[in-house]
Amino acid sequence: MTAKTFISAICVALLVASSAVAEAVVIVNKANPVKGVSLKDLGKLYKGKRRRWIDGTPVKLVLPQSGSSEMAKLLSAIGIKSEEALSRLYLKLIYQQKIQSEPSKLDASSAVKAVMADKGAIAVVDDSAASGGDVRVIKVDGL
Amino acid sequence: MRRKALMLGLLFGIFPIASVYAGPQKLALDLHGFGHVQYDVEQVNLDGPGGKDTSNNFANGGVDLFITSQLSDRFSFLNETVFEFTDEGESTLDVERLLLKFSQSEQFNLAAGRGHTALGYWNQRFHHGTWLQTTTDRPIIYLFEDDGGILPVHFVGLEASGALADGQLAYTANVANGRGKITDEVQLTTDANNSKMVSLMLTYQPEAVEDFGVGANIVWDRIPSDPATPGRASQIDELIYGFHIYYTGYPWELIGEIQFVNHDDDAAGTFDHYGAYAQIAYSIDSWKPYYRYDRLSIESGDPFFTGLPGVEDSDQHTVGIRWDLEAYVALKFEYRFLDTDSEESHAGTVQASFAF
Repeated sequence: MTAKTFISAICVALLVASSAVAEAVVIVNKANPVKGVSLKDLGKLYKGKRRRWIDGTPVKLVLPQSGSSEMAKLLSAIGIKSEEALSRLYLKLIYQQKIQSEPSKLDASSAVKAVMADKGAIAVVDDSAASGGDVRVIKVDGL
Repeated sequence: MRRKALMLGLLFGIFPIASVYAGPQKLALDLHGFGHVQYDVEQVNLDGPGGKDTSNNFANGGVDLFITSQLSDRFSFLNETVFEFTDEGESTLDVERLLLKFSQSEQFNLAAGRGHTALGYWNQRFHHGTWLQTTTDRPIIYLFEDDGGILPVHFVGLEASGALADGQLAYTANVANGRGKITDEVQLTTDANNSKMVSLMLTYQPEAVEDFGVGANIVWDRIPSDPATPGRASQIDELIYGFHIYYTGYPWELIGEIQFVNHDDDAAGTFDHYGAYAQIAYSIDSWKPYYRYDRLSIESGDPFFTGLPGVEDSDQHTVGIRWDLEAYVALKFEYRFLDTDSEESHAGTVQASFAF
């Protein structure tokens, strides 16, 4: 193998690898009129500080699967240290009647289905799962 | 016919929900609970010839069952029932909260039943599960009625709540049965007088500073007379007003509150009392050291408080550390120094509190 061929092979491998690293995106039901949220608003939604969309529809939170890269990205985006800390926050919010129950943690395809089934649902999934479902990816400033 | 049409139009105009929300949905019930067990040690130095009294004991703190159910998109139900134990070793069951709630929007929710009065930050944020709070016990001013507390921390009636100004102004208001004849009577099914307790609490939570709030509350009530008790032949007008400020952004927990209580008794005169506390805590990973100062000031002669144990001028210093050894299990190691008119005491508590 010549050096040129070797370098080309490395470049192709890197290209393939980069396209295989999925990007986390935020999805909502297509009937939800929201087009985008700020990072701060995303935090308010996932921390139970905003519980209805602008049209009055109750927000239904869907969490990424435990330990997933999407979960790590969400926690970082909303400023929560760990999944444990998030669970404890939700228990406190239930106690204060701010939310009804702890949001479900779903894999990407189940999360997409949940968002398709509920007008108020919001989830964080990888972009390949989002593109495979009838949902809207919304812009999140700062994510 | 025209009158019927007008009435129907008026009905649906006032109550549009009847025509918008329809159909039952599958019921789901969420059950959570809280509990605590602890070990207490105390040395009381009594004023006068009483001398010293020491004690140490294990205590079963009881179980707080917390049930919620989403009945529909707009209606939800909450119940908090506490199984606890008296000093005499008997078990009691208290339905501490029972609320049916209608949520119209972020700006307006209406609940009916028994809950916690719109009376300051601690009373709204912390209820009966000790795992939820940093310290082993509530501030002196917010002790429950049956623990010798002087405030009407529970209501039975209506609660309106919501957040205005894009969530920056939170409000809670009550119209309720009000106080009973004695401090630890929460009027559950009757009202001894026709007047109702009215309360309002406002908290400003600026968008620019997350987890910060400052607010005020006011409560007005007319306490019924208790002719069987000397000095309680007449009703007492009660006015309670207070202020709160807090910042709970990790790793800090800073809370300060003060409540003023004014009693106006036709026969005995007017009395002014107040209670306050300031609490500071700082989280370092799973450890949270804390300190709280409590102050209670009671004007003597108030017939509503006369003779109640523990209701006297008090200063208390509490210092401790909370260790969250697991996600839902916490250990608290606490020392308290209490100085009242009648005694000084040094107390220590090791409490294991948990959620399930």
